[in-house]
Amino acid sequence: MKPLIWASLYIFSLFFPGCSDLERDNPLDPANPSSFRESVAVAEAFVNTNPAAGVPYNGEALRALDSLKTIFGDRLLVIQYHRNTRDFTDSLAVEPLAESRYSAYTTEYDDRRFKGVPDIFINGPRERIQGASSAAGVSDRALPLINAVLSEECYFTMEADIRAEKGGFSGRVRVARLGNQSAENLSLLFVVTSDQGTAGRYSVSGMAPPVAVDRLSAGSYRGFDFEVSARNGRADRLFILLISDDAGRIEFALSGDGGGI
Amino acid sequence: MNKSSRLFLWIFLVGALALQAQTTLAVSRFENHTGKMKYDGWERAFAALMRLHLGNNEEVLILDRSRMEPLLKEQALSQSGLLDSVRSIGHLLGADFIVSGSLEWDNGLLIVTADMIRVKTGQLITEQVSARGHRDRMAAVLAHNLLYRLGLEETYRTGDRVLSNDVWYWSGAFALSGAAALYFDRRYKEQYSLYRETGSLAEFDNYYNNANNSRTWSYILGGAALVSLSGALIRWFKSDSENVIRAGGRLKTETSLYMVPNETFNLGLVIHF
Repeated sequence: MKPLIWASLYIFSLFFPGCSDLERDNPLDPANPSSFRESVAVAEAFVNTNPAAGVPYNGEALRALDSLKTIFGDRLLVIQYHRNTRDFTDSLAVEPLAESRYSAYTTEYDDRRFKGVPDIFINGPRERIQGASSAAGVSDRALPLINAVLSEECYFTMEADIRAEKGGFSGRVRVARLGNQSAENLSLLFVVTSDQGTAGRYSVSGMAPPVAVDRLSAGSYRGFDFEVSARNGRADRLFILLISDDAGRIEFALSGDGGGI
Repeated sequence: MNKSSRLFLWIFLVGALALQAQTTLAVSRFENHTGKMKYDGWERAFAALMRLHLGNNEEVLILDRSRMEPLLKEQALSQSGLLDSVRSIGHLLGADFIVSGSLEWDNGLLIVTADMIRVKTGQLITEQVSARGHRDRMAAVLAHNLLYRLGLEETYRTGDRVLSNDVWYWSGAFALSGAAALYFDRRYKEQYSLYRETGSLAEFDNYYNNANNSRTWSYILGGAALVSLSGALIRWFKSDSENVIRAGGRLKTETSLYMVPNETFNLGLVIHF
């Protein structure tokens, strides 16, 4: 065969496409259409810990959350919002963002609800535990709700690089849509908590206005920078919640106190 | 006889014995009978190569070409009895053997025939090589086999294979493509394994793209290596017909009666094998 033909064959072989792409078979990879993650349960408790109130309900609710946290570990995130009631103020209350969140839970998604503490919501406004005659009672009511959340497959995930700064946190969070369907009307909520002992180990000390995540295509992820500081100067832990704006459901959440999570 | 005279005599005798042990060869031209002009240049060049290869043997003394030229021209004028002419030249030169030859063309093969005539007896030793080219290697094989006939080499070379440059080019391309393909194949497996192990959003695409690109390159270069290997093999086997030098020879002795310049009569017996 002429050398020119051989040379052409050689060059052709270099440009001949190898084959189809590799399979994206990592179950955690958003680009894998079958990807999903384990769900995370988020218990948001609205409490008033003013001792002048003279009733133990808020303390019982906080104890119940501590015991639930012991049971579920990292799969349950607990956030305690202190709010002022008509009769009693709470020195740990962070106005107005915490109050606007409670208002949304009690009026925006269901306008027949009335306000009152302690009020615990599991992954959004739908699952609610109001009142707390005893810690055990609260735990008994919360357990099936939390288990139901944890048994679901989650089609969102988040990662964050968190820098702890004096009195707050900053960094970048990446939000990914898993599975094979896109998602719209989402928002990110950044909440800073501090350990207040019996008044709440995850007491909210600062919040940032929600950040809109308009659309996430299936298999894609987007990054958002954030910066949030504590109102009262203490910032022990950061919580990032991914919320569906339509129903207020918390789709995914993570927490950390610095580094990569 | 004094001491220095004896020493001189010893040196002379040792030198004479050493010269006597060497076989003296005179190499004439190799005439082009192919009918192809491109082999005209081989006439002198091939003889020069034969001198070179024959002269590489320490037991062979090659006579200076300049001494042969006038005699060859003179003998060319009278072409009667070529063998006798050659032998008489050999006698005149003081050579033990005269080597001459011819180039012929047969079915796409160049055949180079070397006739080596023992001047004393007229014994004719003929060796041939045939190939499609490779002048230097043909001369080397031919010279080696002539030396074998003289008992100066231990083995007879029935041929030689000359690999064309193409084979080396294709082999080089195969080695390079193959090594690169193996490198990318290893990288692809490593990166794909990292992709499967990671849980980080920022690393999925990085590892996956590296693995995918590396695999594509390993296939492309593997394909190129296969083409190169095919090219090398085809060129290798094709070189069997194109680049093989085949050798053969025969011993031929002819009965002849001739007169040499010193007016001595010789009678010989010719045996054909």
